Formats: sequence, C-alpha cells, structure tokens
Amino acid sequence: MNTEEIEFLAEQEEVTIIPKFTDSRVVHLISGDIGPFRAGIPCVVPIWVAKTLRKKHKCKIVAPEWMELDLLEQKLEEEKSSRFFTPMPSDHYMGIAHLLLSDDSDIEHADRLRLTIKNIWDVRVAKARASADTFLKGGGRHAGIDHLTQLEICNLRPLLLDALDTKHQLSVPMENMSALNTSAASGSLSESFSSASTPRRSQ
Amino acid sequence: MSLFRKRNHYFSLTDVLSSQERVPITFQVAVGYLGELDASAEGNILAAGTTLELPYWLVTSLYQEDGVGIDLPKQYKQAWRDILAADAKVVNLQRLCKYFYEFGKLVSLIRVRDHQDIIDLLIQTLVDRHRELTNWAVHAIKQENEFFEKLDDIEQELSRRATSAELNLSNWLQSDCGQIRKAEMVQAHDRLVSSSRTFNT
Amino acid sequence: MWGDKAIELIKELERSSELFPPFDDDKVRLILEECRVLNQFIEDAMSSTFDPETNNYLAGVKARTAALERNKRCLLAYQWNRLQTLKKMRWEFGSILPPEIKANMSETEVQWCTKYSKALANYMKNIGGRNGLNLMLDMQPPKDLYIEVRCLKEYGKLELDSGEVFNLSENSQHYMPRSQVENLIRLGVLEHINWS
Repeated sequence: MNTEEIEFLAEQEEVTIIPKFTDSRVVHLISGDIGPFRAGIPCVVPIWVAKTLRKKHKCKIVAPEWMELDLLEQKLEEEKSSRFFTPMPSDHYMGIAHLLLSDDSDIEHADRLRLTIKNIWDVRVAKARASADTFLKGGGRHAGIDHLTQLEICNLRPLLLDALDTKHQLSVPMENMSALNTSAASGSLSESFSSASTPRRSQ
Repeated sequence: MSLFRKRNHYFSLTDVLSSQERVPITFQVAVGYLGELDASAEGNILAAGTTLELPYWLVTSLYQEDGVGIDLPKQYKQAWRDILAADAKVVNLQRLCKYFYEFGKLVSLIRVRDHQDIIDLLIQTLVDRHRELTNWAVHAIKQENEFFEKLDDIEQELSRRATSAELNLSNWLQSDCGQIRKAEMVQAHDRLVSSSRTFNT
Repeated sequence: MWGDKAIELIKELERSSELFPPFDDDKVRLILEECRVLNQFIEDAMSSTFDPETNNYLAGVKARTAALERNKRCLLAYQWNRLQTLKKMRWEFGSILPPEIKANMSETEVQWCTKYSKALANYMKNIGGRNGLNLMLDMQPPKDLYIEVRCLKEYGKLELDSGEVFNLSENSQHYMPRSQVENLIRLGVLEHINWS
C-alpha cells in the first residue's frame, strides 16, 4: 500500500464537526448514515465528509480529543524514554494530522501541533531503524513491532522488512530453487542438500 | 511478494544472470565430448587436469561426475572472507560480484561442505553493511552515487526502494496528495521520443 | 560457448534504456539453431553404443541437456518479461500503444496484446453490475468529483457522457468531471492543476 492509499483509509476515521447549515435529511451510505445536520450542533462524520463540507465553508472541524498540545508533548516524551513503541492515540495519527492541520485549519495551534506530531513520527522511525539494525545483528528470529502504524510500516518496509526477509531467505534451504534449470537437476540438488544437513542435525 | 522471491524464480532476469556467474571446475580424468568447453582442447576430449571457469548452470550438470571437482569462486574463499569480516562496508561488492548474495546462495547448494560457512559469510556481510545502507538510503536524495555503486545488485534494489519510500513520504508531507499525474511509462516514453528527436535534427 | 547467445539476449533486455526494445529475431533464431545442434548430438549419442572406455558420452549428454534447458529458460524469460512490460503498458497507455512501441513488437506479441486487451475489456464489462466497471479509473484514491485541468497539447473536441462538448486546445483550462479526464491526464494530454 502506498501513502495515498493509507491517507484514503485515514479519511474513513471519524471527526466531530459543527455544521453551519441545517438539513434534516439523513444520507444513507453503505459505510453508515450521515446527518441530520443542525447548524451549531456538533455531529460526527467521516473525515472525507468533513473535508468536503469544510471546503464549501459549511462547517467547522473540531480537533479530535488527542490532538492537544500538552497531551502530545507528553506522548513525545514517553516515546523518547521508552525502548519500545508506545501505543498511539490513533492508528492514523499522522494521516489525520496531515488531513486536518492544513494552513487554514480551524484547529488552534495547528503549526505547533503539526511539529509535535512530526517529532513523534521522527522519534519512532529512528527507533525502528535502530532496532532493525540491532535485530539484524542479534540474529533473533522475531522482533516486536507492536503499535507501529500502517504509514510507518509502509515507510519502513524496504529497509526493515525487505532486508530482514533477504536475510531470512539466505539462511533457509531453497525448496524449489528456480536457478536450477531443470526439474531433474533440482531433484538431485535438493537430495545432496538434505544429505548435507542431516548429519549436522544429528550432531 | 517479498523482494527476494520476486528476484528469484524461473523467469526472473536477476536469477538467470546470477546463475551465469562462473565457478572453477577441475576435470581430474579425461572426459569425452566436452572439448567445446575449452578453447585449448585438442579434438573433442577434455584432457585430464583441465581447470575451467564455467557458468553455474553448466557446472551443476557436471560437478557430480566421477573425477570432477569444483572449487569456490574467489569471493567466497578464505582471503575474501577475512577481508569482509574485517570491514565489509568498504568492499566494492558490485565489482567483486554483482550478485554476491544470490550467487553465494547458489554456490552454497553445490559446495555441501562449505554450505554453512558461505551462508554465514553472506548473512554477516549483509548485516554489517545494513546500517550504512540505511543511512545512505534515507539521506540519498541529493547525495553522490559513490556509495551506491559499491552495492551488490540486491542491495541496490533495497536502497532504491527505501529512497523512493522516503521521497514518497516527503512529497506527501509537503503537498496534499490527490493530484493525478502522467503515467510513469508514458512519461518515460515521451522523454525517450523527445530526446531521439533532438538527436535526429 | 553454449548458452552465450541466450545470456546476451537476457543482458540486452536488462540493460536496454528503451521502454520496450525491439524483439531480437536474429538472436532468437541463432539460439534455436544452437538448440537444434545440441539436440542432434544427444540423439546421435543415444543411438550409438555406449562404451565406458571408447564411447563415454554421459558427461557430454548431461552438459548438453543442461545447455538445452538453459537456452529454453532464457528464451522463456525473455518473452515472459517482455509480456509483463506489455501488460503494464496496457494499464498506463490504454488500448492504443504509441507507434514507436508497436514497431518493436513481434507479430505474436501484437496478437497477445490484442487478446489481453479484449479479455480485459470483456472482464470490465462483466463486473460491477449492468454497466460494468472501468478498472482504469481512480488509479489512486479520488478526492473530488470535479477537477481543474489545463490542456498541454492540441487535442480537439471531447464529448462528455452528459453530451457537453469541450474544445481542448493548447493552454485552455477546464473544470471537468474527474472520471472522464483521468485517462487524458495519465496520457499527458491534460494536466491536473489546483488540486488540494
């Protein structure tokens, strides 16, 4: 999955808006109902609806609860001091921040919020890179990457997952080695290979 | 599909190319009907004591014959093992063997008694170079290519992927996504066509 | 040596700077000729009398079998990888490929493309209900139904499904339904501007 697609998923997350119009009709969608809207009364909609209405100046977007400076700065400290990845307030924290904290955002301190969230991201990504390195060196067979979000994994895939996979593939016996041009040859080779590994196992 | 598997299957170009790398093979006895393999052979008989460097795919068909022995390609021998163990980062793998890891894996399959040593060497080398690779790939966007050119083929592909993931992310951070762009191949094609036009005129 | 031409064919494909290099008929023919010679040797050996001292053809046959298989693999890999490119091009250029690319296709590749194109069109017609589903649309998640575009080259008239007609002349700007102009943007006729 690429960044655009993950942002699309983030757009499905819900956010509170304060509509500037009244419409008592409910829109029935496969993913759920939207509305009714009453001017000045907060209501919850998917982010993509909020963005569309916002563009037409038909609502104000309210920041999600977790999007608050003190809370995020605390989160940043926690992330810095922990060896592991700490759980994020939202699986799409980066995507939502990117969607809601544009330059003309309704949310106060958008700049500082954006910076803090980017700092959290940087700490996490650096941590992931460092731990990939330790992990590769340590020769463990599995690593805990709990609480990593989709976007982080997408960004880290080549250096973290592909590199680990390459290492793994080098060390496992190849079953259907394609480089062997014939099926007959692959038979004789895998035989010689297994005869080599058997005594090692019995040692 | 994982990168390694994508590069290693029957139709894959990288796999065809890595199995073309050469392995030293010695014929202790004379072998008939193989004279074509040795330019200095007389007639069609390969003389006893001939040593040749043949492509991997051909070696696999002969190495189990009586009187035939294979040796390790130099990059997996002790001398290079020592160099790589000392400081893997500085070695120019691209020049040493373009498919260092993948060919190494292949060689390990036909050199049973060196199997584990080769695999250990490959893994240690990969691990030792990984941090450099990460550093380079993350900051590569505007840097020189000197480091990149020292990488083996799969390392290059890894760093290309990493760099493009990084670029993708920074583009996304800087501007909203959602712009429809010209398709990549169309773009490449237009570039080629326009450059050939300037060339012709 | 055996397999040399086959590996040249593969290297040629791997190193080519072209999007789709010309089909190398000559080299393919040379490889097939090599295969014929290899096969002839094997057939002759099989019909001769084996003698461990004077007529030991075992190693010779094994090596030539490997070479035959190798040539076969290289030819298949060559063709397979070219077909992958063609397949991808169907998704990027649409059903009409530029003449420069068409000129580099072999006759069977042209046939394959037509068949692939037909199969794909047929599939898209038969999924997603009565009107089918155009899989070429929304290659990335859409943001808006209408978008603003600038025309990069003379294209002429474009009639929308609604019957509305736009005159796409160079540098003109239009506000149009995304679904009807996406392919023109991907082909480089239009440019998507002022997105957000």
